[in-house]
Amino acid sequence: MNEKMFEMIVDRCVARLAEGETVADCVADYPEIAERLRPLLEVAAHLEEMPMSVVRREAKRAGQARMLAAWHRERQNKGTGKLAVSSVEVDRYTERKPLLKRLEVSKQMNYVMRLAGGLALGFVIVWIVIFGGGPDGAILNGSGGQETSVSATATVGQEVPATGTPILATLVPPLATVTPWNPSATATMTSVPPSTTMTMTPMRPTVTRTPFPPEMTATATLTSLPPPPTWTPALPVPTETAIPATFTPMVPSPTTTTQPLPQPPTWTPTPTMEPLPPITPTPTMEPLPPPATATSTP
Amino acid sequence: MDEDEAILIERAQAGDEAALVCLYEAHYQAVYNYVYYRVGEMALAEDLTGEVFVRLVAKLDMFRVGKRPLLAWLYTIAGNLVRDHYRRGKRWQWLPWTPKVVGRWWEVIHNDGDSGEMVATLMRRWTEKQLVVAVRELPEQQRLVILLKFVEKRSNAEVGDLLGKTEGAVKSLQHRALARLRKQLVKEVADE
Repeated sequence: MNEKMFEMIVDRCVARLAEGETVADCVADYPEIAERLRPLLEVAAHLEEMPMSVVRREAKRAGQARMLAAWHRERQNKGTGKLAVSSVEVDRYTERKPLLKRLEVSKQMNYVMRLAGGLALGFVIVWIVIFGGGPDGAILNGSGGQETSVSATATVGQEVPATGTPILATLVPPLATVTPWNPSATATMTSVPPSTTMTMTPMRPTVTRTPFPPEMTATATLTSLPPPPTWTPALPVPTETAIPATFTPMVPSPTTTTQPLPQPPTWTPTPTMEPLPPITPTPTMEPLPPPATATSTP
Repeated sequence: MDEDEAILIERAQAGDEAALVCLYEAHYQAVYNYVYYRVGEMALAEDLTGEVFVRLVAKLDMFRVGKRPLLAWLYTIAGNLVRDHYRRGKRWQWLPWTPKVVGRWWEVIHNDGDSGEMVATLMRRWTEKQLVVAVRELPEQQRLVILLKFVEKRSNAEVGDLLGKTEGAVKSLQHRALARLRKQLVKEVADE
């Protein structure tokens, strides 16, 4: 008997027990599976006899009152139109519009900020190009009336504009001409004390002035230029000196007998053979046949 | 689900208090039985049953008539409540594995518990409380089949409708539940 069939028999017997039959009646109809069926039916019969759990009336009434109280609360909330969501949710929803407006404002601000940033960048570039920072600009060292020197960078023959610095702005002309270039070139400014010098270094000249009142007007002119420097080699060239030479006799080398090398075979050109003249066949003369003797027959 | 219940649910959803009370009256006993056979304590079962109907009120608008029986829905709510209750309480029970208990187990096993006489003897000693404990130990589906068939006297078709199963599946669950209860019975007696 398969399991399905056994389950059907158990169910049929349970139904019979519910109708009032006994376990013995049911088992008697299935003697071949009685041992297996009986314990289950005993449990089923016991369950059938079990009374339904008693519900206390007051507990049931209290439960109903509790349910109705909750019911009225729910209805009241619905009647006032209050959403069944927390206040946090509602607040978040009401904040949406201002938030969107803020987003729109921020878009406009973003455009303005971009424009302003671009203008500022352009201004800075123009300022750098015109007023210094580049290789031609003169840079003031010190500030607040305590300026000590002016530095400039230039190449040979290049004019150093002094307009970018407060001190040299009043120079007439506001240029320091650097030509020709020399590491020790000294430029003397005409309207400044003699101690004022302009020292230039090759390729990166430095204009130095001590002291230099800010309101002074001066014209820088290169007056005396030293001769161009002579080239001196970096390393001293050794002069020729007589070096006493001491010679030690060389160790005689072992005598070696040299065998004269065999004379290479002289090349004798092979006599050239004159090519034979082409053989021309001599014409052969066929011997003439003997002359026929005439025989006369009588 | 019969038509009357569907009408009652729709009226309750529309705000009819009397319809809600009718539903309460119709299903209180079944829900109480279910909870009682899960927790085994009358006061706790009453409290949890009341809470089941409070939750029903809160979620009644979400219930769709015709999809599944209202009682099945109430069983689901009740099952969740009982589970939450035990999760909060952390109720653990350890079996007292004393030599006396082990000796009784040995005696019961070797006395051939399958004989009818032995079962009848055990049955006589099986009290209602032990039955509740044994039913409580069953798996959810088997426990529901025992409750609906033996306590509420429902037919296989009704049980299948409530559990969403075929009648064949209900018969299979019933057979397995009875076999398990019998094993539980032997164990309960041996532990005494």
